[in-house]
Amino acid sequence: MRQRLALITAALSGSVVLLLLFFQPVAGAYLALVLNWAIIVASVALLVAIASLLVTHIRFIAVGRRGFIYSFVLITAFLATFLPGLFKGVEDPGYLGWISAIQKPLELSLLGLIALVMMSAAVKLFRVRGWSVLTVSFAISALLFLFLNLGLSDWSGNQIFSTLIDAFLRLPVIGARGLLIGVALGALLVGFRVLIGQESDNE
Amino acid sequence: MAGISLHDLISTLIVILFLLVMFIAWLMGKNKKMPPYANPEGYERIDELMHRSSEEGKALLMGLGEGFSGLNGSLGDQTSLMVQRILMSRSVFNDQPAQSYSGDGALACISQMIVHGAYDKAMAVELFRPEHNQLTGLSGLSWMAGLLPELARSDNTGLVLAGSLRPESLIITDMAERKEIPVVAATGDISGQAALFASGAPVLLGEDYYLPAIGDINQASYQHSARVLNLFRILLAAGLLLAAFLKLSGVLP
Repeated sequence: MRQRLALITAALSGSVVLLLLFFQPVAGAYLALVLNWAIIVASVALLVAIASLLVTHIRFIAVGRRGFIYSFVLITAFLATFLPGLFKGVEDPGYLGWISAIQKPLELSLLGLIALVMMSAAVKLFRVRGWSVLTVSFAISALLFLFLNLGLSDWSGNQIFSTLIDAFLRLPVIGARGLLIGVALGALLVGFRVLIGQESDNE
Repeated sequence: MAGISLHDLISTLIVILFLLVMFIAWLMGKNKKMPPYANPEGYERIDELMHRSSEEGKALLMGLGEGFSGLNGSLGDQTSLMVQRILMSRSVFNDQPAQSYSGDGALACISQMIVHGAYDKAMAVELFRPEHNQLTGLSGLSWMAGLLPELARSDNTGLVLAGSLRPESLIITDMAERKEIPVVAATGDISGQAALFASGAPVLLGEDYYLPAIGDINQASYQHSARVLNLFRILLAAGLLLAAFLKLSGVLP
């Protein structure tokens, strides 16, 4: 019964949001209200998840589990971020500058690493997937679009070339739309199944 | 009905048509003579990983993606939760239970509920450990940064990446390949699918991601969904061709 109640609540909430979305010009204010509720619930869920994470790591330290030093680092970093934010406020320029000084270099290093990994993956593609029509066309199109989008060549003087290149540049968008239609259909189906209660996750 | 745009009306029409197709597919499903669809390859590989995890007594890792909030506006993580439910239903009594890592608070909470539900269903709630199901970051990058150290452990049998994945997730598959951990990537994000194609991991392309069927589990739902998608795809292609013809002939503005 408890499961069924949760399912009915979820299905009803989904149906109401869907209806409000369709009749947005008439019921826009209600949609904003419902979405605000969703944001509040998501924020509370985040607090619960953070609390669960902290409790888990405190337990690791208490029982002296292997690698508990990392748990100690995590809790120290959390407190060093949380407490100043609590006392100085999250809008305080000093606090924001301090957080940014740690976060930005970390994210930039990770992005730099990702750029290298992506480049090496493009090179490794043939070793991993072999020489096939798919991999060769993938590589040719990647190089071609990279070259065309660099903006080094100007074909505006030649009408035929310019038309051909415009058509070429539209190809990835057309391909992506084809895939997007498939993905949208899949998402629509999952949404419906959830809405009518055929995909109840919390069994 | 004042103020409702043409797009809203078309969306309503698509929804009604979709419901109709679902009903037709359900009727067609009653015909036992129709051959069943084969499972998508990526999900078959997850099945293999589940077996390996049971046999070797090692843990299967699961990256659940970025989550529901933030920049992600898709239903991708809903499917990752379905995959997790299937995985958990088979790994409750493994020596090492499957471990999940989420990139969002709501996703972490729901995923914990799913895992708890799996143990509850198996009447083994005392075996449930919240630490096997954790939040690892509050954004896509921090989720990745939290998941990477987990790959370094020696008792991993494989990694399933399912959910909303950015192209940057390639760094995870790269790390797993270096550690010789088999990976399966499943995402509904187009750019994520394109980037992960460049890795050695089996990737679920297009709408395959939304059809989770692992081994015999979820077969009825999968067969019905695949039938609905095929029927609707035919209708959509016909509709697009008709619209293109009408546009070219000047009937549509």
